[in-house]
Amino acid sequence: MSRTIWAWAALLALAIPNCGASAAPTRITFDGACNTATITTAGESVNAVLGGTHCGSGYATGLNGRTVDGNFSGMAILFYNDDASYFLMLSRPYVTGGSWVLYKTTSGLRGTSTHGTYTVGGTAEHHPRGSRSITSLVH
Amino acid sequence: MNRSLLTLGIAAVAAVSIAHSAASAKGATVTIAIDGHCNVEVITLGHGKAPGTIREAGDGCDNSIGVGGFVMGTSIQGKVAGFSLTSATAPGITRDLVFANPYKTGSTITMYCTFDGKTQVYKQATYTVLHKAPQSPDADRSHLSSFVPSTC
Repeated sequence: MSRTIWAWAALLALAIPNCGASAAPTRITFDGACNTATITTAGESVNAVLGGTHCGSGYATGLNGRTVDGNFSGMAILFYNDDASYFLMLSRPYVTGGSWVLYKTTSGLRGTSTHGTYTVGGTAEHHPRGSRSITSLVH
Repeated sequence: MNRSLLTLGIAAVAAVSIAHSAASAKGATVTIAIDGHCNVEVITLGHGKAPGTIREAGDGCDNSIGVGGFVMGTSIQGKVAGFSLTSATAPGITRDLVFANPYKTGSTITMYCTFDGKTQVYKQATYTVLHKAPQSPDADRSHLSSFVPSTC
């Protein structure tokens, strides 16, 4: 009986959203582009809502971790109405002047990238950083 | 030194150099089967700052593409490499497919998903490194369900 309960508890733990303490969302704008990202972290988990006026919107999810180049959030992104697959590396902590790299593939065989810096705070509506989406900057 | 011998030497060095860069550009691949599921993923390893890519096709299970593969250290899962995963059979779900790294049989694979960009759900399994092409999946894998269902 108790074994069954533990088994169900384990299944539920995998099914429910990540329960780590969430930090207040951080809003960033991508320098030279029209995109914004509202980032929520909970422990090692990281999610984001991407938007921006006249700019591609979508969702991102991934993990925070360390690479040989420093601390990053590594997130998969799905932009609406875009068949390409994207992966975003954002430097941490989130501070103005931090760096981002956006990777793209349309085939699963070859990847391309573009990069830049970001600004914390502001909105694309009131403080647009550029007119083009980061998705149009990577080919 | 004999000029023709020198020319031959330079040509040989150039040939080796070109062959090496061609091999690097093509990229080594790792073929991985997700245990208990019918998915077979082919990862093309990145090198330097170039990203890796992932592709699932021809396994009769799903069709997906993705990019990433950068090795990150995490406190909970240790070293991992995550890829975006875009699948025509499950549109509208943002997925990060994370492999325990290095790639070796019995390691954990975790698929993180979000439906709203604010919360994250995940699903785990182990994986097996294969040494054959995904176009000929094991017969006993054909009845298995996809690791990437439409509900994540």
